Parts: sequence; structure tokens; C-alpha cells
Amino acid sequence: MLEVFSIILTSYVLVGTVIAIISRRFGIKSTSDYFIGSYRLGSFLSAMTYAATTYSAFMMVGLVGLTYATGVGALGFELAYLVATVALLTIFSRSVWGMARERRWVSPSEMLSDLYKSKLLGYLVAITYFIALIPYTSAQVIGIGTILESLGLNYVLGIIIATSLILIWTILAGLWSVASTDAYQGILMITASIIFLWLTLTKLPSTDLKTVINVLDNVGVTGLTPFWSFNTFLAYTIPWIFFAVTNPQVVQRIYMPATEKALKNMIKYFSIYGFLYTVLVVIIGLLARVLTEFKVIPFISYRDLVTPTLVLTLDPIPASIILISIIAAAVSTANSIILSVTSSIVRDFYESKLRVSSREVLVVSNIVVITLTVITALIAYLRPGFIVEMSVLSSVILLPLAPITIVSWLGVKDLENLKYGAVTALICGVSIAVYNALIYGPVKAFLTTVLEIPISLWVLTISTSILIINYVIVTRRRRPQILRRGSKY
Amino acid sequence: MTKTRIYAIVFVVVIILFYTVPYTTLRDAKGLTLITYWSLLTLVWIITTLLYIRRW
Repeated sequence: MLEVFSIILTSYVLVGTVIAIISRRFGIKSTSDYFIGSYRLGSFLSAMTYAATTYSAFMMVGLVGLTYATGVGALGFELAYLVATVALLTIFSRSVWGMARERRWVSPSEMLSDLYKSKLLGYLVAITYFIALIPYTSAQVIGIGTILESLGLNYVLGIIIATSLILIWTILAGLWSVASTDAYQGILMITASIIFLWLTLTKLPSTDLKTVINVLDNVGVTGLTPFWSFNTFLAYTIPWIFFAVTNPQVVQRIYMPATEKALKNMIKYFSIYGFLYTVLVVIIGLLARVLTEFKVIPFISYRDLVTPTLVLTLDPIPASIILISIIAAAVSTANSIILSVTSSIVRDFYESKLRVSSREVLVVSNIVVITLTVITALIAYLRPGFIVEMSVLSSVILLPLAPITIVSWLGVKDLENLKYGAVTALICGVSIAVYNALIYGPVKAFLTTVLEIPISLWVLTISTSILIINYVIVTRRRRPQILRRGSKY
Repeated sequence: MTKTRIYAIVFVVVIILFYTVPYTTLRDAKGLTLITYWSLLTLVWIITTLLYIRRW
């Protein structure tokens, strides 16, 4: 197994590196080239980089395990995300795509700072990305280390491989190498999930659908299990419903398609990819549960071990391909986040403040990419409990950005008047999330309710209310002025 | 009313259906009922979106 895995891992790394080297022909002359491919991505690359960035190792490890342990509610949670993402992209992406070109946006924090005319907001948003997403990226690296560890290899070797891939595939050609390796990895991810499903099916002692459904019914995983109380469903879905507007790595991908047709195709192909991938992964989780009931595999109480346990019962070649696809999902998410957070730091804190040449900015960009990747690797190596657990809360910490971003995209006039509301909403929202993480611990805070309401809903409600209050105050102030002006005539 | 507004309203209805039906009518669903409900609702939404963006 170890030999086959090493050969397939080496092939995966080599093919990816060749693709990244080839992507250098697009040329990198400015930060616009480096971070967003100068708005020149075609349909296929746009859709695949969106899909591979969105779907992390959580799908093949976390979602399979979640379905195995808690049933079909996991499908509802993941599909709620997809429905909302497709809708948010359809409603807002065309105008955001147009504005990004017109105003030359590169980073999402720069977009908010430009729309609200507040540099302070841009800085705070960039800091929020750093706090929320570095632990999340470390979790991806830890995942790769754990996969290698489960095969009897060294955990540190996993960190070294993950860090090297993130760095090389980012620095070689910036967004071009990230997007082209994302496309390669996205194909690998969906192919591996089909292979995994097929091989899991062949393990069933009975392929009679009625028998399989009866088994699942008897375990009680076909309906809403006690785990999926309404509050838990809310706690899981709310941060994910707004993922498309809160996470910089996906917001930035709206800027990238070369034409409106490419943008349309990005939404089209992503929605098909997302639906197929989600359903395949959930069915694998359900079938794994059936295999446990048929005593083909033992009962697995720690749900993140469901996929590794199932994979290790397969032949070495498909097992290795599936494990590599999980590594691919982790790398494609991690390097996109690193590049996106770097773009916020470089554009908001450096390029906008100093008059520097493109070459200097690119050098600084590479230094920031290296620094962030090293920080990520260090966290993965040391595995400090609190920071690693914070990865669970990343989407909740970013949640205050949902109302701030949506209001800015709605085309509200004189957005500048709402800048203090936006800054306050962000500070309050992030503080509530971090405060609860400190009080309860990040994992518990995710599911804890205050007055029967999940923390994520509190974060969203409070940050939205602050923006609304600001809007009402501004409108009320403006009304007498309009009336006074009107009386002159 | 613009097409985008109608699309946004339909989206809100779909999201409400996503939450309410499983926790009311399908609370004690067995077999493939719930998995089919969520999958079909998503599929219908994706098809609606694809038809909508064709007319952008």
C-alpha cells in the first residue's frame, strides 16, 4: 500500500508542478496578474477554481463521517449551502464582476474599503480574514499530515509536502498556477468520489435497494436524527449560506472571469459540480453506515475516521487515488486562501499606501505568501488546541461580513454614510464570535445557544441590526434637509 | 418588478421550504423521502437558475 501510495503521490505532485510551470506563460507583471489573473480567466478555469477552492478536505472526510454518524440531515446542511451560493452568485455576481473591472479591485477588503470609502474598514476586514482563515488553512495542512500518519508515514512529512505544494503552486505563477492546479485537482476530486462510491457499492453484501433502505431506516439515519435539532441545523447552515459573500477566496473569484459568458458558465458548471459532489459524498457516508450494519466494517465512533477506515479496506491503487484526492482538496483550498489573504494584506496595507514599483510589490507579495504559509505550517506542526479548534469557527467569525458585503452590493446610495455602522458591525460581530470561543471553547461555541438562539444567528442579527440602525439614522437626518431644500421652491 | 427581484423572492421561498418542510411535514420521514426532497428541491433550483442566467 505504502509503495503504491508513494508512486501515486509523486505522480500527483509532478503533474501538478508541470501544470503550474506551464501556467507561467500567462505572465505576471502586476498584483492584478498575480492575485486575480488580470480578470482573464476562461469558463472552465473559473468554474473549476471556484469549485476546488470551495470544497475542501471536509467533504471527503468530514461530510462522509457526519452523514455516517448523524444521517441525511448532513445532506440538507450541505445542499442549503449550495442553493444559497448559486442564488447569491446569480443575484450579485454580474454587477460585482462589472464593478471590479471598472474600479480595478483586486482584494475583497479593498472592494469594501472602496465602496464604503473607509480605509479603516479595509484594514479591519484584512485582519478579520487573517484571524478567521489562518487556523482554517492550518486544519487543511493537519489533515494532510494525518492522512500520511494513518499510512504509517511521518506526520511532519505530511506538513512538509503540504507546505511545499502550497508554496510552489502559488509562487510559480500566482493565481494562474493556483487556478490551473485547482482545475486539475477539481477533476481528481470528483473522479475519486465516483471511484469511491463505486467501490463502496461493490462491498455491499446485498445490492437490493429495499434491503439497503431498510437497514438505514432501522438505524434511523434516513430521517432527522436527534443530532439535527432545528437549532443545530441553523447553527450549521447559517454561516455556510453566506459563505459566497463572506469568504475572500470565493468573493475574489467573482472578479476573475474574462467575459460575462465565462461568468455565466462559472455559475453553471459550479452548480452542477457542487450538486454531484455533494450527493456522491453523502451517499458514500450512508453506504458506509450500511457496511457497518452488515458488519463489513466495524462501528466507528470518531466520525472523521470513517473515510480512512473505509479507504483502507480497498485495493491499494483506488485507495491511494482517493487519499490523494483528499490531499488535493486540502491543497486547492489552502493555496487559494493564502493567496487571497495575501492580496488583502498587500493591497490594503502596502500597495495603496506607498508609491512602489510593480516589481517591488510582487516581491513583497511573495514574501507575505511565504510568511503566511510558514505560520500555517507552524500551527499545523505544534497543533495548539485552541487555534486548531478555531478553524471550526472560521465561517462564524466571517459572518458579520455578510450584511456589510450584501448592503454594499445592493447599490445603496451614499454608502459612505454607513461606514461607521459597517466598522461597528464588524467589530461587534467578530468580538461576539471570539468571546464565545474563549468562554465555551471554539467547538462548543459553534453549537451553543444563547436564549435558544445559536451564536451564528446572534452574530448575523447583531451586525445586521447595527447597519440598519445606521441606515435609519442617516435617512432620518437626510429627510429634513430634503424638506428644507424643497421649501425653497 | 425586475426579474432579479422575482428571482430573489423565489430564492427566499426555496430557502424557507428547505428549512420548514423537513422540520414539519417530513419530521418522521422514512426511506428516501428526505434525501429525495432536498435533492429535488436543489435540482429544481439549479435548473431555474440556469434558465434565468441564460437570459442575462
